[in-house]
Amino acid sequence: MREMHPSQTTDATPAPLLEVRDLRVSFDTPHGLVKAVGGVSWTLSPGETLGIIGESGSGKSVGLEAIMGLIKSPPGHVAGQVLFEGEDVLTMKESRRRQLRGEKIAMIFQDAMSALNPALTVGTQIAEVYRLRRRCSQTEAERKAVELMDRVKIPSAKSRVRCYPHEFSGGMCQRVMIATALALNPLILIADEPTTALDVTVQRQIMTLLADLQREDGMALVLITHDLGLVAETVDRAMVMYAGRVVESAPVSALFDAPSHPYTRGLIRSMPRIDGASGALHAIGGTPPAAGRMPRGCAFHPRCTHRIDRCRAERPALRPVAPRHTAACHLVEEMTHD
Amino acid sequence: MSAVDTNTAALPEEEHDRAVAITWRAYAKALLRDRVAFVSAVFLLLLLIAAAGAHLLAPYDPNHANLGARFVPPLGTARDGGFHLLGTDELGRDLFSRLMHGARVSMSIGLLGALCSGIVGITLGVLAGFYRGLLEDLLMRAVDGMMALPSLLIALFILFVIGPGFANLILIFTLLHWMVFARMARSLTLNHQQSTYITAARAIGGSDRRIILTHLLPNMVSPLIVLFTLEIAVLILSEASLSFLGFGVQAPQSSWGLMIARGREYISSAWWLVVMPGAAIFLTALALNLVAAWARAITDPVQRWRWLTPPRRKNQPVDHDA
Amino acid sequence: MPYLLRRFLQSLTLLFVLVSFVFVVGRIIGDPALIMLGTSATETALDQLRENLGLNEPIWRQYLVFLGDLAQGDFGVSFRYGFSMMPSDALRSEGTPVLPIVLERLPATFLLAGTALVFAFALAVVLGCLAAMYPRSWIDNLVNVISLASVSVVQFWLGLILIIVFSVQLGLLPTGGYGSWQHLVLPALTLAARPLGRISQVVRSAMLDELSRPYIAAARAKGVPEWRVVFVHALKNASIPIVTITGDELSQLLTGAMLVETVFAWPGVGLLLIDSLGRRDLPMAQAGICVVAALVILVNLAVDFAYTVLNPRIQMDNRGGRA
Repeated sequence: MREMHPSQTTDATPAPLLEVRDLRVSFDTPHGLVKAVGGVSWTLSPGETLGIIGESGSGKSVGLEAIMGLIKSPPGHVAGQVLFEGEDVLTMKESRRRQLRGEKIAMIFQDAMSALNPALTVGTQIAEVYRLRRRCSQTEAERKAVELMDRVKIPSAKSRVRCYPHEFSGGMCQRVMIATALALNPLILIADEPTTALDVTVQRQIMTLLADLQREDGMALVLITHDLGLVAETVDRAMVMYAGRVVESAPVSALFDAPSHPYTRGLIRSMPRIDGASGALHAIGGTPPAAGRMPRGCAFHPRCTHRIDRCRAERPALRPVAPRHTAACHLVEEMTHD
Repeated sequence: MSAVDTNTAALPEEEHDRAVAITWRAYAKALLRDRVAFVSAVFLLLLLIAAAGAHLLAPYDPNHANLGARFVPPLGTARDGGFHLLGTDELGRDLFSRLMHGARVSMSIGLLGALCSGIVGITLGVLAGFYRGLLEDLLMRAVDGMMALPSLLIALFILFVIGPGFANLILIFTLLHWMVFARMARSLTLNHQQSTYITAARAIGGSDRRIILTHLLPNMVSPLIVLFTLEIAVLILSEASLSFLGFGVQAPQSSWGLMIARGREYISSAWWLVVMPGAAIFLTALALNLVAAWARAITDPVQRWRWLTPPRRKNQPVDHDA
Repeated sequence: MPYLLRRFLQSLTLLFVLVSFVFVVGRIIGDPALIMLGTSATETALDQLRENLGLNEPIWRQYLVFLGDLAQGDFGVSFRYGFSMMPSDALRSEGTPVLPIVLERLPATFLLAGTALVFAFALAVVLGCLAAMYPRSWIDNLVNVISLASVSVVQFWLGLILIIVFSVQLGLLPTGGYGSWQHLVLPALTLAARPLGRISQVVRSAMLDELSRPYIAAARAKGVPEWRVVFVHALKNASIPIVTITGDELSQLLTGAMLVETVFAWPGVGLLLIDSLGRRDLPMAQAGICVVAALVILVNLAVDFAYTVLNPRIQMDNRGGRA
């Protein structure tokens, strides 16, 4: 059983497990300093599922990598605060941060095939951190690996624990990744586009597995994706990112029922719907800005159908729309009453 | 065999047009900016001048024995008042003058050897890449086979049979080093042949000869020059080894390698006789390698921006709100 | 055809080509009798030697006899090795079979080349990994300097410098010879310089390559300590280019040993070969060349075997020729 934060039982909004304050990430490139994430804040409560939505290049993965302490400096620069149980991850010693990784926060990646080491057996990789931290024997580690493979429902785990990643399918590789992440019972699991590289039926299986595991262990899940459908099904609260900033954040029902940012609206309207109610699919015109060439004012204004002169000059701040619902648009009031 | 990476062989075609836009001035500026490469280039230039003008510039006659001035240490003055920058040898001959004349032999063997093996190798490589088929098959097999054999050993054996000497050395080096050029020339030809401008030249009815001479070769120049520079260094080192073993240059001609071999007898009393010629070889090879590395970096489309654009100021504060 | 079998047959072909080359150079381009006795020999002595060696037979017959003898391990006899008398007198004796003498010298060469390679390899892997971990640090610069210097320096000169410093000036180590570990230090260091530079450079670039791959980020994300990320996760995947360059360097070492053995009077095959050439001892030189070249070919073959062990996924039949 994991210990609960004392305030969690009393308060309706439990004390956050992870709090990100004004996180900024930028990189040195041949063309000068490029901002990838520009001032992002959010919180994650124990057991919660948070979805981070955005197109590729919107800074959603980079931000999470910064939280894990995986951005190399130079060329990367990370600023802001990332508080895990009140302790700043960004300023702590690397050895302490490494303790957090795996033990408290685990991460799975988009392309499991390339995120697994081709030269080590899956069993070795699954139980690697377990063996290092718990200082157990080789046989004990292998037993643990088999147990974890059973948990993520890899068939005939015992006979496949000594196989290499290339002997597994993409879906099975993702299961191996998940097993690896679960080895030390983390409090937070960050899943970076965990199903993008997989085909549709396998996607569903992986998501079901993640939901089951989350229910059993009570861990918090951060799901990074560009797939709104996935968010609608699995997430409690969602955050929409555009060009390195949060443009809207809301409980998932509010986000779909009353999207307040033109970009969110565009995304939702471009979603194929099973009931076929809204007729033709809608696409957002234009392309997201390149990281080095941010437009002035609101980063979305060149693609926005509602833009006013103010959008060109001034960047909108996140403003409350409803309880626990914020959006960054000058026209929030007009949009919500639309 | 040499320090050539295969990645120099792969120049994307579209770089061709942009390459033209970069002027010689930009290259010169880039050279001035890279201090190491600049010093190396200046050193090589001085060396070439010293070698070419040795008979005019050398302070002493390299073969003039002066028994009154034997084993003068570097920066020393002989009893007759003659100053010797790098000292004198067992016959009182001025080491600095001898090094200048030795440079002539060492450099010309390096240059001629690289030139001959380059001509043979590039010709064969381009033909193989251009006409493909059996010729290419046989050639590449020969290249692979010869590269797998120990070349120094074979050079020694041939020189043992046909006798040492300057001309024979060039012959041996051509025989044993053409493969390096052939391999690169072939892969460059294959790369360029798929590009549009070759197809275009074909379409307007250019003859094979014309296509090779006016379209293919000029586009292969920069990687081949890099290789050529590296090969000169390799050959200077090989020549030194062969001469040291007694199968290279023969007296009265003298190369740096032979000078080391002679100086070895006096290693316990006159260290400079061994140290100085070897240092000359080392510095020359080092300068050649550095210049080649610079030339490769500057002609590599991936790295080029770093050299041709002025550097960003260091320790520039990172401003997240900019 | 299985990859390894094909490589084996290629190696055999190469060996055959080499042996034929030795025959062509030694017997067609050169005149063995003249080579062995020198230009000062009398016409009668030359004729007698030609008769003894069967040089008056038609050339194709000589070639077949030569190949047949080699197949039985008969590289001919030396009239020089171990004889102090005039060559013309020695010719009247039976001569000494050369192959056993060459093989006798092999352990010394193996000891020297092996020590140099082990030392260079271990140091190069550590240096290369550290350079890849800390790009543009002092250790990265050091690796760059070492690798540049190692391809620019003449080995025998480096050996002589070491002698000047450690033997002549400091008097710490012997200038040459064979026997104790002190005798091994300087020649092994001299021989190790070049592979140290080349291997560390390859380790560095292969490791830089591997360290930028997604599985490395994944290993870090799950909390694997950095030393393990580098020396287990990345190094295991970088092993193929490292083995390739090490194999290349080992064949270089076998010929490089020739010069180093000469400088330090180290009684290996290389020294024997150089001495034989100086003594105009053609059969001994031929045997030495064939043995060393065969070893080089064998090393190349062994490297290809190593690939299959290191990475069973390699599509052997799609791989092109190796430098």
